[in-house]
Amino acid sequence: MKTCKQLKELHTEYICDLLDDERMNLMEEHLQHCPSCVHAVGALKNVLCLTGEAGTISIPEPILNNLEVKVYKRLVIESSQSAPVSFLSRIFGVIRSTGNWRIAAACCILILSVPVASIVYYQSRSVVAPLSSNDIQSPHERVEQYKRQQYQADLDNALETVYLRDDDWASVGAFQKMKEQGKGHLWESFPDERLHPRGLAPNGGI
Amino acid sequence: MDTMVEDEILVAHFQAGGQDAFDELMKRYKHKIFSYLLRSVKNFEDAEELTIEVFVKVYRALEDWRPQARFSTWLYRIAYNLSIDHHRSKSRRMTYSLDDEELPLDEPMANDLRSNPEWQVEEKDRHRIIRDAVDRLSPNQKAVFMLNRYDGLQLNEIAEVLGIAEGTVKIHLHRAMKKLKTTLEPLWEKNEI
Repeated sequence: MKTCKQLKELHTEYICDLLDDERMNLMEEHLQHCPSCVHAVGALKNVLCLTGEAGTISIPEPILNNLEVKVYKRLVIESSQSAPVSFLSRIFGVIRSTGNWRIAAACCILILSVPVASIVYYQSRSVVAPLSSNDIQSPHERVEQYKRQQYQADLDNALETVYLRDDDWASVGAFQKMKEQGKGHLWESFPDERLHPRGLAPNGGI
Repeated sequence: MDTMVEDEILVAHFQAGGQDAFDELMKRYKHKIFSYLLRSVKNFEDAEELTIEVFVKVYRALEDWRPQARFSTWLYRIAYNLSIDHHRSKSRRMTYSLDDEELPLDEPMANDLRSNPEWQVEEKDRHRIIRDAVDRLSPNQKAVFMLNRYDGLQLNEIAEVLGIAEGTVKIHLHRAMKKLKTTLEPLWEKNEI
C-alpha cells in the first residue's frame, strides 16, 4: 500500500491520463478513502478546466483561408530572389577566401563557362526536355491555380445568385465585375454547363 | 486510418511530385500551427507571418524529409524554433508587443449569458488573470504545458519538439501544474476567477 506522499507525485499524471493501468488502479483505489488526495486532485482538475477555457482562441476564417496563397507567394518571391544572390555570394566568398584575385577570377570564368557552354550546346541542338506529369508544379503556377480557383468560386457564386433570384441576371453587375477581375486569367475556359442552357456565352454575351 | 500513416503517405506523394499533398498537409495543420504560434507570440500579424514561414520551410525541406519522427512533431519543432527566434529578436529590438487581451475569445452567442457585455468584461478579466498565470511559468514549463494541454501532444512528442528527455518533460508538466495550482487556488477560493 502506497502512502499519500508517494502518490502525490502521481497526481498530475493521473489527471492528465498519463498513468499505466496498474498505477491508475492504485490511484483510484487510494482516492476512494483519502479526502486530502481527492481535494488535491480536484484542485488540479480545476486548474486544467480554467486554463483550458482561458486558452480557447478563435482565428478569423479569412486569415486561415488566405494562408496557402501567401505561402506560395512567399515561395515564388524567395525563389526568384535567392537563386542569383546565393550564387553571387558564393563566388565572392571564394574570391575573399583565396585572396588572390587573378586566380579567383580565372576560377570564376571557368565555373561560369561550364553552364554557359552547356546551355549554348543544348540550345544549338534544340533539345527540349518534355515535362513529365510527375514534375512538381512551381509555386508560381500554384498561385495562378489558386487565383483560377477563386475566379471559379466567384463564378459559381454569381451563377447561384442568379438562379436563386431567378430574375434574369439581376446581378449582371456582379457578373461583369467578376469578369473584370478574371481578365487575363482565362476564367472563360472553365467548364460550366449551367451557362449553356441559359444561352449565356462567357465572352460577354449576357 | 492512422493520422501518422496518412501524413507519411501525403509526404511520399509530395516527394513523388504530387503538389496536392502539400496543400492537404497545410489544410490539416494550418489552424493548429497558427493557434500554437498565436499563443506563443500573442500577436496576429506575427503569428501569421511565422505560420507562413513554417510552411515555407516545410515546403523546402519536405523533399528530403525522412519519417524518423511524426510529421506533426517535426512541424511543431519548426514552429517552436521560429517562435524562440522571434522572441529573441523581439527582445533585442525591444519593440512594443500587444498585450494578452489581443487574443480573441470565442465569439459570444446570441441569447446567451455570453452576450451580456458586463459578463464579457468579467470573463475577459478572468481569462487574462489565468493567462497571466500561465505566462509566469518558466519558458520550458510553459512550452510543455501549452503543447500538452492546448495542442494535445503526447509527452514523447513534446520531448522531440523541445529536444529534451521525456522524463524532463514530465517534470516540467508536474511543476507547471503545481505552480498554476498555487497561483490560481487562492483566487478561485476568493471567487476572483
